[in-house]
Amino acid sequence: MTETPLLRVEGLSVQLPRDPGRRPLVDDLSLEVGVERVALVGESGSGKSLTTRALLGLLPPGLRCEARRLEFAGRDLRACTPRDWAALRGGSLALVLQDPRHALNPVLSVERQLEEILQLHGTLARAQRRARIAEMLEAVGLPPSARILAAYPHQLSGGMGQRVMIAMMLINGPRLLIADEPTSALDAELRDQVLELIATLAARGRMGLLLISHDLQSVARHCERVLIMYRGRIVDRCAAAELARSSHPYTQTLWSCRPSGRTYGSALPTLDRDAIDSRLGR
Amino acid sequence: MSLVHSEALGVEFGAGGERRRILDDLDLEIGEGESYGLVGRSGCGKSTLLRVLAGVNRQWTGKLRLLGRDVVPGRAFDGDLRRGVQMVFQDPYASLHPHHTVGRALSEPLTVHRQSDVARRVAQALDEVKLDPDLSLRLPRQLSGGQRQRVAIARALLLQPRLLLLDEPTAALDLSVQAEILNLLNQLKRQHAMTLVLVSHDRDVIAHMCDRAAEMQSGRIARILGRSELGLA
Repeated sequence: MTETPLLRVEGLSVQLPRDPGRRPLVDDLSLEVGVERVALVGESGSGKSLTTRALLGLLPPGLRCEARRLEFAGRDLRACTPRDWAALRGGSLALVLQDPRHALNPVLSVERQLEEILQLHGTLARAQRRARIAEMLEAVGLPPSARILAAYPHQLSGGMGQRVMIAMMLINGPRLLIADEPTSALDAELRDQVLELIATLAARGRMGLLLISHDLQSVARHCERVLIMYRGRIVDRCAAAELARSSHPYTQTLWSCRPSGRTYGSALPTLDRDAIDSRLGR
Repeated sequence: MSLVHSEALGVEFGAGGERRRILDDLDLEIGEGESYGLVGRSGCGKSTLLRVLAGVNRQWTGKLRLLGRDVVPGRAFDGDLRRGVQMVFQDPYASLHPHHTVGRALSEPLTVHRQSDVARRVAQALDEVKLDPDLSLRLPRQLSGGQRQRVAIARALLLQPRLLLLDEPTAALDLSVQAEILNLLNQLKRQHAMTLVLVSHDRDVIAHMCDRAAEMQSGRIARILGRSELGLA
C-alpha cells in the first residue's frame, strides 16, 4: 500500500441492542484495504459477513453498529444518508454475494439486469449501454449472445449466474469490490476459476478487493494479505505467502484441515476451541 | 464378500419424448468394509445411484444384490435390509423434521422398529457423535450446521447399519467443521465395521476418505480410481 487506503475501518463493533453485557458480534475490528487483494477468513459465525454488511450499511435493523472510523475513499460512511448509500453501492463500492440464485432478480433477463445498474449509476445512451454490457460479459467469460442476454436467472447454471453477478458488480468500474463467499454455491471445479476471474479483473481494473471466505488455502492463492477472524475479532494478520508458517494455532488448523489424497488414513487436524479461547483470554 | 453388487442397473425419468436415461447399464461391486466414493459433475447420476441403493428410488431395471440379498425393483426394503442400509443427506435441515426435538428424531427409528431401551440408546447415540445429551431437547434450528449433521449421523447409526450411504455429507459445512465430521465418520466406520459409500463433487474429500472410487459420467461409470490415482488428487 502506497497511497491512502480506499477503506479504513477502526474499532468497528456490531452488537445486539438487548444484551449489552454480552460480547459484541463484531468486536473492535480494524482493517485497511488499498488497491490490493485482501482476504478476510473465518468460520461460520465468526462475524465476517456482519462486518461486510456493516461496511455497506446493510446491517439488519436492530443491530447496533459503532466505529471510531469508517471511511471509504476519504468519505465518512457513518454520515451517509440512504440516498448516499444508494449512489455508492453498485457504483464505486460493489458487493458480490454468495448465491446468484438469491442475489439476481428472478424476473429480469441478464441484459435488463445489467442495463438497470448502468442506468441507475450513469448517463450512457442506449447503444453505449449495449456495448458496455457486451464488453463486460466478454470479460467474465460469457459470450454476449442473444441466448445469454435473453436468459433469466433460473435458466443459468450456478457458475454462469455467478459470472453475471460479477459482471453486474464490475460494470460501473467500482474502486472497491467486496466478495462475500462468492464461490460457496459452486461446484469444486468452478471455484478456482471464479476466484481467479475476480482476482484478475480486480487487478486489471486497479480495484481494491476484499474477499470473504472460510477456505483459507483457496483464497490465499488469489490474495496478497490475509486477515483471520475468530469470534468477532481479527486474531491473526499475515501475508498470504507466510500463511503456512503462521504461529497462531487457529490459522494453523484452518490452513491444514483441508483433506486431500495425502491425508488418507490419518485424522485431519481439528480446532481445539477451548485452547484458542483461553489464549484469547476468554 | 461383496456388499453391493449390481449388473446392468438402469434408471429412467420422465415419459415419452421427455424420457431421459439417468443410470445406464451400470455394473457396481463394493466389498465389505470398503470406503467407496462416487465422483462426477452435477447431473452425472451419482445421487440417483445412491438413492437406488438406499431404497428411496425403487423404479430401476437390471440386477441388484445388497448385503447378500436380491433386491426386487418396486418393492420397499424390509427386515434386516431396511435396518442394514442407512443414509445421511447433504442438508440436515431438510432431513430432520423442523418441529421434532433431537431426542424425538433419534427415538423414532427405534420405536418404528419396536426396539427396547430407547432412552438409553438415544443417549448413547448422542455420546457416540460427541454431542452433549442436553441437546436432545433442542430443535434442529437451535443447532449449528455441524451439530445438525452429527444428529443425522447418529440417527443413521441407531439401527446398526452395515452399509452407510453418504450424499455430500459435508458440502454445507465449513472446512474446519468438515474435518471434524470426516474424522468422526472414519472413527465410527472402524468401531462398527461398516461399509461406506460416499458421494461428493469434491475430489479432495473423496481422496481423503475412500479406498476406491468410481468416476461417473452421464449415468455410467467412466473409470474406477484406485488409491494410486486418488493419492494424486
